[in-house]
Amino acid sequence: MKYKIKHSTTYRYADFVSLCQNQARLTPKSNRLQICHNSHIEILPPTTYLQEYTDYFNNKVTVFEIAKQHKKLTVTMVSEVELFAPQSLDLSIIDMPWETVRDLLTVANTPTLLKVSEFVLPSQFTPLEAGIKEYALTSFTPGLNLIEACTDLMARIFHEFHYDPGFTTISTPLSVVFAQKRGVCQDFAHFALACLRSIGLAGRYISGYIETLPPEGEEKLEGADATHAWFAIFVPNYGWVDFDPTNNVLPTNQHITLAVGRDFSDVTPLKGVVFGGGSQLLDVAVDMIRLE
Amino acid sequence: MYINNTTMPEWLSLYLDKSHQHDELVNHSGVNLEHWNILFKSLSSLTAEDVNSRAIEISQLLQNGNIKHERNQQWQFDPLPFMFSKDDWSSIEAGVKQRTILLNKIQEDLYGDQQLLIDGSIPAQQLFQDKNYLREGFSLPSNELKLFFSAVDIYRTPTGEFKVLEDHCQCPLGLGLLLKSRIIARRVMAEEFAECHVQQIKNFLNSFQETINEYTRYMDDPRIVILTQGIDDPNFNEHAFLSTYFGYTLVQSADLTVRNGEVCLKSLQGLGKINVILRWLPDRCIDSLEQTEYSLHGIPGLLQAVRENSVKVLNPFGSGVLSSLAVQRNLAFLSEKLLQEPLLLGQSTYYESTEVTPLDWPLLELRSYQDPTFKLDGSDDAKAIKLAIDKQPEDYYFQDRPTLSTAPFWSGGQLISKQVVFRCYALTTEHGVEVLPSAFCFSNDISHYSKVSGWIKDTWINTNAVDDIVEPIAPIPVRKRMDVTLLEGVISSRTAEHLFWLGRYLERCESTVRILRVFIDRYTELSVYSDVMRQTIITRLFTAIRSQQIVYPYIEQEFVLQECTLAQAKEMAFQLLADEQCAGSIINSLKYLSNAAAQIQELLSYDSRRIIDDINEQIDALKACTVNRPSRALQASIDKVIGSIMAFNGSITDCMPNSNGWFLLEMGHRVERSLQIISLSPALLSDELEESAEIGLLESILTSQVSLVTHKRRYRMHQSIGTGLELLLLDAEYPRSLLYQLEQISLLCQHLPTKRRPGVIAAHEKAILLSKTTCYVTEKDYLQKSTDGKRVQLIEFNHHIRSNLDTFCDVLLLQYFSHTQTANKLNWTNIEQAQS
Repeated sequence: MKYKIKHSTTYRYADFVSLCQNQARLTPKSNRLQICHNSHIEILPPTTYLQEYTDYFNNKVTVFEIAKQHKKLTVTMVSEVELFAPQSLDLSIIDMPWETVRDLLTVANTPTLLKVSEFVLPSQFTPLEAGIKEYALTSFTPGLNLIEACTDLMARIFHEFHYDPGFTTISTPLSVVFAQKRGVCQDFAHFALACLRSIGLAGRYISGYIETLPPEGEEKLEGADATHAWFAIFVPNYGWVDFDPTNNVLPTNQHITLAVGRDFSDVTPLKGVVFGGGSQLLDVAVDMIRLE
Repeated sequence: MYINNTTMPEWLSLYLDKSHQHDELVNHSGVNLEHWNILFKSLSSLTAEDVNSRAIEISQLLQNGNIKHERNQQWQFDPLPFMFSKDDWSSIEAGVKQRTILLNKIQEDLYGDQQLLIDGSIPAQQLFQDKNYLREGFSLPSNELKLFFSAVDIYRTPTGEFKVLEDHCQCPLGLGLLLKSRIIARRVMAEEFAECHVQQIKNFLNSFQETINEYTRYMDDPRIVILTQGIDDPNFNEHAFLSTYFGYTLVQSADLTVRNGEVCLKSLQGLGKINVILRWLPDRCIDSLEQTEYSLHGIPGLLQAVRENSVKVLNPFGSGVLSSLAVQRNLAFLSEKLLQEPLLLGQSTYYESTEVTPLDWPLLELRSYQDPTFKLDGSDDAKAIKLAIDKQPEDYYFQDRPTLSTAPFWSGGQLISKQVVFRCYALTTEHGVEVLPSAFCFSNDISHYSKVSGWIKDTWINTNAVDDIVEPIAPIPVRKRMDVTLLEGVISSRTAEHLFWLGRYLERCESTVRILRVFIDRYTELSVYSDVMRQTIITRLFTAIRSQQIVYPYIEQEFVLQECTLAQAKEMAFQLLADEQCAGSIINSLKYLSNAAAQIQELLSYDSRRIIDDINEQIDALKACTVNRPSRALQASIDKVIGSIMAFNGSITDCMPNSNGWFLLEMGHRVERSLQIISLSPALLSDELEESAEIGLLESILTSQVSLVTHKRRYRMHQSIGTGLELLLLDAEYPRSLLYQLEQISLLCQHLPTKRRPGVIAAHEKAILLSKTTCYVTEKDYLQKSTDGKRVQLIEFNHHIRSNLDTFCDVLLLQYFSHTQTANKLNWTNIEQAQS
């Protein structure tokens, strides 16, 4: 499966901005399930400085600066990504009680395990709140297979939490999401991560895209696709396995990974500082087109 | 007791005879007393009064060098130095050296292949949770990750060995204070200093600069800055002191901007590349773009510049992690592992809160994993400890309670003992680690002196005089490049703006004082000889002050006469002097002045700073003033104010290299004086009055402009409003005239970097040229002429000049000072906002 993705972000300012400095994490990753064939970032007005570097979590970061007066900034990333995942994942080869994984991570005596063990710790957006551990243990019963337990956790979040855009913002604390059982994909991912971490398992946050299909017989609307977020759990001798609690699926050929981190703060698609500008309006549009 | 106290003065033997358990002098002097004895031999001739007078001299010297600020730390400096024996010092020196080497190795590993985490030498989970473990460090060039300048706090245990209290690997404080106290000690205790053969700290400071210079070795015009949080930082004085000492420009984050991957200083000349930043800011919030912890003091894009290798930040990014518990707790083990030798300077033993019983508590203190400032004493706070660990035992740990040794401090005419800590400084250079041969010896025992934040002693390390002779004299190093400290000519736009305003405030204070003097003079005269003419003059002066026409903000408006009683006049005089509600009052102008001076204190000489200190005292005195003060006392207060202003002006004339932006101070003076002059005549002379009253008012103006005598001499035959106006406004040769000020401003403008092509003059110069021309082409009779009892042309003339001056100031702000804009955070793109 091959996709072309167009992700554009537009800022409109009330006053002139004299200088803006930004960091974007908009280049899809290449890993064993996907390859980013090419990517191209287009920024208007033209940048006065543009560089790339790879961050701690191996995400590609685009650093740019516009030192020219402007009232509108558009950042468009166009990329082509090929997915290798089969229609459905065969995870039956993973036969491991979750406690075994937990115990392995407390030792963390190899470079890989050491890196992974960082994802066991609570983070800014996934603090250890009261009640979360109990919630997790309902799915992670003693001796249960890791994948089975995690699938159950995902299903419970899907069924018990209400998808409610507008209820939360990025600053809504996790405890509110948990108490009200409402939120959007990033809240669900954060909550699931808090659950995993509360019982000593490693989970990471994934930002990316998901393909949306129009209702039967209708044309797909431009800009209708979305940035999305889900989580992955670490499985020793296998790697990371993705789970999408918003849709209750194991991502395969409709999810494209953009960046990974401990939580949202590590993968912010676009952040920056501006000098001047006054109030600002933000507009984001994503298109995900199947190429073959 | 080891010390031979037969020859001791009483003040010293009194201290020695008291019972001490753990005192540096009494219990820890060792078998070989040479080091203290040399000192005491030279002190033995001093009486308690002598020591007292030294203490007073020191406290004056110490305070005078600083501009006092409520937030600044105030240290008390002791007249008695601390002496380390050779043996003690060599063990400390070796320990500090070893520790610095060890910390460097650890940092290299932690931001490298992390072997120490994989093999469990450092607990990874604990480290990963430490706020000072900075993941941003991994994308930086690896040569960035070496310590440069670090410090370690050590103390002596009751058994006599030295132990470590704390490492300072980010921005070690106290070097400035240490330097300052050494300078004072050498002045106050010159003889003892020589006799004791105190090791000099000069070499260390030279190495400090040499090491920095290494980074800029191949650059033509390297620029080195000291980055501070600014005047709100409690240690700002120290930053300013170091900036003056080393000759590096002192900057705040708003002075810097990152363009094209390079850090630039926003200066009058435009943007100038910075090569080395000595940061006195923690690294966790140094880049407000890349780092999650947002800080006003961060510089957006700084890390990218480091990544580009275009700037060197010292201490390098990430070194804070070395102070983390995960590292500190395992140092002894790490020393064996990495250096194959035992750790020379031991430190506290740590215990989990569950490891010890309440019986062990009295020797321990409880600390928190989360909050490094949390500390509960094992014996005094037993109840609180119980509460804390019953609730959340895993959040806390115990460690040995350090028992600090004491040393004698001079207080209230006698020696008292206070607990001391020694902060030792180390420098990592290409040739290894160098340790400063002195220490910042301080005591935080401050129970009786709330205003003092601590006590310090100069620390002397005795060298054998013989050694000095044997020691080969180092050849004078050949300068490979330009001496970077001598570079001038680049000041930040912010500094430039403060200089401009400093000039304006100085002038504003001066002229307000002169107006107030005239006003007080006139109303006291009126109370003695009450007549219509004097009443007219007082009414007009009163109205002009009250409506703020002739004092700041020099409001231009219709003149509506307000009659006043003597009591009202007196009240007005008080308000103009000491009322903080009154915008143009002297107290307010002094406050602004003091603040502007503090902002640029690193450019001021020692003497100028002393005067600012005096001014601060006067501000405090004025705050305490009440309206009932007799006129005589008011006069005395304002005499003092003008005395200080004159002294300050005098103290800076000699050290004003224009390349450092001092011309802006002069420009500020001239602009404010111009505004002052053109506010006076329309307010007081626009109505045609009976001649004696008019001349009386003119004389008031002339007196306030220190021009009365000149006027009388020059126009001996006939004096009129016209002659007065000619002298004050139109005479290009007379130093207090308006036109003279404008000519000066015009000349000073030549120092401003030009942003136009030759042949075209800039907007601000046009404004001044217009004003000048108006003055040149105007005749005195034109200004004096009145229509229907009003001098409309005089009002218009002044209004015209005023609007041109306003334009001038606006353009100056926009063209030269405007980079002071602050950064706003862009809304982060949020998943939710994009969610369909």
